[in-house]
Amino acid sequence: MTLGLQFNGNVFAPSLVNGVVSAGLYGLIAVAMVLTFRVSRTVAFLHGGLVLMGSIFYWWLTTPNRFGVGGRPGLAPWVGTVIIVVLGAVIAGVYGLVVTGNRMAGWPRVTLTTFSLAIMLLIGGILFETIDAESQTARTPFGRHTVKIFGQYVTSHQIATLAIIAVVVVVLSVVLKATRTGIYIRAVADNVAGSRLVGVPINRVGTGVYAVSGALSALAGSLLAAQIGLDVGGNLGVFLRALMVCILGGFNSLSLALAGAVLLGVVDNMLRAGVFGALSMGTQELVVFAAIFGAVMAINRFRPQQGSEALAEGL
Amino acid sequence: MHGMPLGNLLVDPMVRGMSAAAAAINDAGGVYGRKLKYIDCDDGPGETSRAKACMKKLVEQDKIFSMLTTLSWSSAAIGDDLARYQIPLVGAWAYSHTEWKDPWQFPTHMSMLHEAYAGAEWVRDVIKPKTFGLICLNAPEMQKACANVNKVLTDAGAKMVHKVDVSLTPGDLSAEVVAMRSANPDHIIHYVINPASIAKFVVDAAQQQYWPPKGMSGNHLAAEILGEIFGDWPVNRYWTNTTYKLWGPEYMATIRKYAPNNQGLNHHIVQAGYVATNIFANAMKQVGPEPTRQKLLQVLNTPGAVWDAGPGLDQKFMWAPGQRDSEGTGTRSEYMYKYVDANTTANKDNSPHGFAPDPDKFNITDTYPDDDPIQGTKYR
Repeated sequence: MTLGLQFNGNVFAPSLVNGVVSAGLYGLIAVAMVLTFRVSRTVAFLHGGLVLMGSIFYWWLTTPNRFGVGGRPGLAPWVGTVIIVVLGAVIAGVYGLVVTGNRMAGWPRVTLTTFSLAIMLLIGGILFETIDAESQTARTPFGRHTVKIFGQYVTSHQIATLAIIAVVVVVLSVVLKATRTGIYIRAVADNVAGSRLVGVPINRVGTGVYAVSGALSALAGSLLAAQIGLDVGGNLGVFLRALMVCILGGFNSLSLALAGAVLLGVVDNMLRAGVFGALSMGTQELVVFAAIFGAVMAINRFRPQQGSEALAEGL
Repeated sequence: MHGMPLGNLLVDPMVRGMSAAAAAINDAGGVYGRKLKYIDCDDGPGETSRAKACMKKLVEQDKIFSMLTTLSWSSAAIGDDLARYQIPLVGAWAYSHTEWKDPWQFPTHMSMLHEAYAGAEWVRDVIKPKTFGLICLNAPEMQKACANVNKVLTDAGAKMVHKVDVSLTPGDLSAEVVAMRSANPDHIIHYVINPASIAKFVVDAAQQQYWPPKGMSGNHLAAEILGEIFGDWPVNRYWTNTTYKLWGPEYMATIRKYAPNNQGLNHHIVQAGYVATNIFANAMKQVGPEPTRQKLLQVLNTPGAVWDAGPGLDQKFMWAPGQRDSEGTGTRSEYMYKYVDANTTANKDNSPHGFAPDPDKFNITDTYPDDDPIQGTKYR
């Protein structure tokens, strides 16, 4: 193992840039995961299904058939994106309506988590049965213009993805902190039973949060299709890594989830680009996991103790 | 292996191609009046337990006479099942070199390890790189193939400056492109097999406006769909080696008639399955009207017997003991095509479009002296 013995400065800046833009791959999904965790206290694997749906169905909607007849509608990327976002919101909204309703809200968390895993597999199964995905990278609504930053070409699609994440995090943070809906969500996050007693419409709040987060996951899927293509294993891999970065903020903090995405993107890219020398795939994974969990431990150790209000605000 | 990445593009067309070949044989009267029945068993993503379950089902439930081709990452693992059930396998895809060493198997695809030698010898003689990079699937057989490439080129004085190991389902390979660009090899060679993995590298390389100065080459990408996946970026600077000539008039006519959904989806493994089916039928005709598996093995193993792939495919195989490595046969010889256009759908006259025979050296051969990777003996 050569870790720490080498430093290849010529690939440092390009892989740093690449790592930051790669955060876009994980960021939106992580934000969606954190949001739903806050209202259900469960890990919603549903989002994995929505990422797949966003990716494959977006490609199907927007990529014309190769032989020009039948098959796919070949919609404009913007139209496809809107359809995907709305569909993601509807699916997740229905899911939220069910799991935050009177019957299921009281189920054990592990049961709800397993239920969401089943829904993810169900969505995946329906997609695989109905859409013969090809491996092209899908078209993007943001074009393929490139700009060179520190020796690394960054596309307009990657920049737009980062901008979307930044806007989403800022808007959600404001909503959580300064609106009645935000107060409801924070209350639910703090104490479900207590919230119900004081009249918080838990089912409505839960449905709304799931709908918003579902829209984000589906959007993330469509952005992934235009960035890394349609490979199911690859897309699920991105989802699982997004799950990992949520840990940084204990599934509570949007900003820390975003920071985790950047940390993961940068560390992962630097290792794979060989900044620290040639490492095997296994060693790379070990270092990535060590970096994430090291960050988790550091945050727990050094983060100022916050009151429940700040934690509930998810900041 | 319908559950592998791009299974709908790689595996489904093969099943349709095999069915087409069987249908054509049946329409011509079958074998002594018997009709061929082709049964597809799916082992998901190429999982060993499911591949073995498939073997059990095919033998015990479907009562098959013979296996016809495999397209599975677990093809090496079913070798012992073939021996146990005493079932011949005509048209093994030779993902593992053991398939060429197994007396129960009759591959219709060059061994990857031989391919690696042949491809590397082409790179050595035609590209003449001073430095090279490798992209290798993180699987033992492909690691060995990459080692063979490394051996040929380092023996010729070239230096490997970077090696990338990829999984079957990489998320993105942009960091690997950064690393490769930094290492700046003259030429990159890939032994990945899975098109999805190498396509990611190409797409990311295009985004980074990177390509090695003397291009890139590798195995297993002779496919009509390739242009859709690769796009314009590698045009005239990418090569792929393949067992058969593209595409063969009789092959294409059969596919067009019996498997019209394969339009634009033909690839060289479909050719291998088609060839296997036809060779099987020919062998069965030689076996006679009272077929047994033992007689089939005897016919296929006949010393000096040469099994031709069919018109336009320009490939032949010898499977008799001691003759499997014969020069000029499909275990030693194949073809190198240059990617010349992003439209790789075959022309209406069945000639390839987007792939052109390499003008410098079209027929590539493995002449490299080396230890047999399985038996540990010199085979040259």
